[in-house]
Amino acid sequence: MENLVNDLFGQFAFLQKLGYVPTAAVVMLACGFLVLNFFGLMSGLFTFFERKVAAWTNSRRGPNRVGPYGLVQFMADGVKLILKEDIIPAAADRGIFKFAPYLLLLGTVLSFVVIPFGPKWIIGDLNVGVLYLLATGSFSVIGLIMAGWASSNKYALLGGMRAAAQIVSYEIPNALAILVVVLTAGTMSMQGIIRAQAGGIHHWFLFSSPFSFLAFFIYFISAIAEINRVPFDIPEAESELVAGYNIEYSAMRFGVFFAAEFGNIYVISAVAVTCFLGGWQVPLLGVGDLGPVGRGLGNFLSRGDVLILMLAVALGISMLAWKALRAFVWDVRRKRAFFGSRFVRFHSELLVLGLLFAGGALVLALHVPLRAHLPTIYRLVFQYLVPFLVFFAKAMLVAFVVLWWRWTLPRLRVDQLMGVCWKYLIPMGFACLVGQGFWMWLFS
Amino acid sequence: MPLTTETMVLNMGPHHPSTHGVLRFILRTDGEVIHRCRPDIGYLHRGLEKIAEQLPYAQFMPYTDRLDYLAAMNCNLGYAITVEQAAHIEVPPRAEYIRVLVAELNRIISHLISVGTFAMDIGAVTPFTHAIREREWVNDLFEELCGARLTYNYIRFGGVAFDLPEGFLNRLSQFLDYFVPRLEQYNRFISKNKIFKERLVGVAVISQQQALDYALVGPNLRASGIDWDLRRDEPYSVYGDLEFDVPVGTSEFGVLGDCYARYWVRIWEMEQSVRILRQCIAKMPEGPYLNKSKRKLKVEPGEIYVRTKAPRGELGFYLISQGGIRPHRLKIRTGSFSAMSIVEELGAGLMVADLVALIASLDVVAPEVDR
Repeated sequence: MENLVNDLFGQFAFLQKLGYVPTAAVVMLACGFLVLNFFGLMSGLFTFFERKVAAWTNSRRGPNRVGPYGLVQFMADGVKLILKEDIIPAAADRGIFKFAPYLLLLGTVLSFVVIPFGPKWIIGDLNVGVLYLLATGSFSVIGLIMAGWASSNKYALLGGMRAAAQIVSYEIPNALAILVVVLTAGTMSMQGIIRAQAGGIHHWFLFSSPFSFLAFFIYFISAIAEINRVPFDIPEAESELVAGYNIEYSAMRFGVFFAAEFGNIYVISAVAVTCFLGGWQVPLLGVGDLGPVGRGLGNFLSRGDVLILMLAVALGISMLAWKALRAFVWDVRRKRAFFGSRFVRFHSELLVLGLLFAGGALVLALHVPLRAHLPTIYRLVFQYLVPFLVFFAKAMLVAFVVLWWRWTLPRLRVDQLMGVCWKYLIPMGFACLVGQGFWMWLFS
Repeated sequence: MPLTTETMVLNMGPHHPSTHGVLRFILRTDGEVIHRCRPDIGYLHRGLEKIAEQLPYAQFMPYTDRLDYLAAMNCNLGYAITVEQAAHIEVPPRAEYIRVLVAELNRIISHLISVGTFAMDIGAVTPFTHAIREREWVNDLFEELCGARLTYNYIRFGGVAFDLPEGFLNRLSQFLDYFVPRLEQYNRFISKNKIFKERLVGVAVISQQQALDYALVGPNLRASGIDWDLRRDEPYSVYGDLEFDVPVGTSEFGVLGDCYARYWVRIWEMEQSVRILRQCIAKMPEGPYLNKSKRKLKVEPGEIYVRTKAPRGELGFYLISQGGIRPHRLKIRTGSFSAMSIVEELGAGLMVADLVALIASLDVVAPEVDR
């Protein structure tokens, strides 16, 4: 946060006129707004992503009607949930019943505070970042118990009890696995942990030692259990408890449960990426600060063989343009409405990209002072955009595995679930911690 | 002050995702552990046996489709054989082979649903959709054969309603060639899954004596290690001419008579049905498909009990005739009904999740329980 504010403050003259404190306040508000929206968008997109992955494993099509590729389906679902009647059972404990989903959501949203988006882009790089994350993760169990108890439904009660036992147990291996990382990195700050993994893939904690390799799997399994995903989804086990703790919830309260659940998938993926997969470190490039790459790209663009690259790109673009043109002709012949037309339906993403590129090129061409800032733009792109995309891509990869498991594996029984935690994961977690200590003592 | 605890009465069903239709169980649980489990049936009672007394013999045939809607062909076949034996109707050989063919095909898709919902009850959703995908192909074949995809009403007294369409046997063998590797894939996917095994091995074991005491039939009986198959031991139709093995549960994968054994018996039975189908395709004789000699059906006074092997075990029709065009009484004995009776004994001491596995492993279909 301070980094971001300082960076922007140093970068732009008009901010200096505004003063430091107002700048910080504006940046904070903007960040909060952005993160809340990012959370909303992520949980929305995850519903879409999950349904597509589900469809893929189930050999179905999945949502494909609303928007291009069905991408806007989650908004339609959200609108539907908001418009539905909010039913509260007569026997429910109204106050707790109403509050429980928001408590669950609070835990998830608070976790986003310490999740990094880039080397300089994080809401709060707390020096106890990982500890904070474990703390916010525990919020969910209170929400679940409250929901299960307040519904005054026996299935919900069973679900709440299962959730309590499960989440409290799985926090221990979760924390132990993260402790291995903290031990190796020597810091609890999220950015610090990522910086400790600089210098190529073999420095990522997943590959740096056998014990942290094992710790990754302990973390991953217990994290999945903590957010109640299959194979550990016993609190909402559909075939046993119908819907578990959220059985009595309807309308947007139900939606909030699901927003929290899908937001949680991103949180655990992001933490796995941060702690074990090098965070925003670009694979194959052992550079923490990506400035040199930006400079390199700038040099590259000034060379002669760029022409060949340009030709290749032009060829690709003209092929796409030819397809777009044919779709356009097809529409015109059949007098299709613009938004229902093939052109828009099949090429909307192309249109957006093309418009962005054209706009950017136009601005660069026309706006002479901006061209003087090209190095700054490179720097901004490589310090903010590229690391974010890398981080996001890694997180998505991990999240894909979570969803993939969800649709492939059966569910464990309650006692087996507890057995996995107490008999295997916790002893292994301790062994990893001790082993990692020895490893570091031997090789440092 | 000491903590007072009490058991909880949990009403499971009739609307519950894993009660396969409208079964109801009244559970007395101590937390997760079930102390007592009482099945409550009758939510799907349609009075089929009474309806049979009101209708001419032929008109009851569509009702047998609804007896066990996942295996309508087998129910058709059982009823047809009963009336044929009572009224002494000859069946041409081609019709016999067609009947065996559709009955075995229906056994395959019935077991596909069974193992698919089994996996779904254990928490894996995808195997179910894969099973349904395979089933669709057979549904298409049946649609081609008789125009219906679920309630076929295909078998007639003295034969079948329609002859096989042109090229049907080719398309059937195409399906079989496709299906056998898919079954292997399915096994790799879910049957041999570690979690799936952990959930089922040693759960709700039915001993041989219990299986006999409760008159279990079909896959549930054979999973307990009792080698009994009507197709082989009391052959009806042309089963005597066909070669097949009778899958019997083993303790190879787990415990004899546990949920996992019941699961595997169904998988093996599908393999054997494929074998029977291939023989039917090879041996299919030419000739008439329906004996049209007796149009006005009257059964002499007397009584007869005929049992055939439906996917859920023996399906018995006990027919009492006092002459005339209607049965005086038609009692239907089904496998799901006796399977339901054992739930109360096995249910005590299980966990809620195990009860779901038990119900799924008995492969109970609600309309067959209630009739």
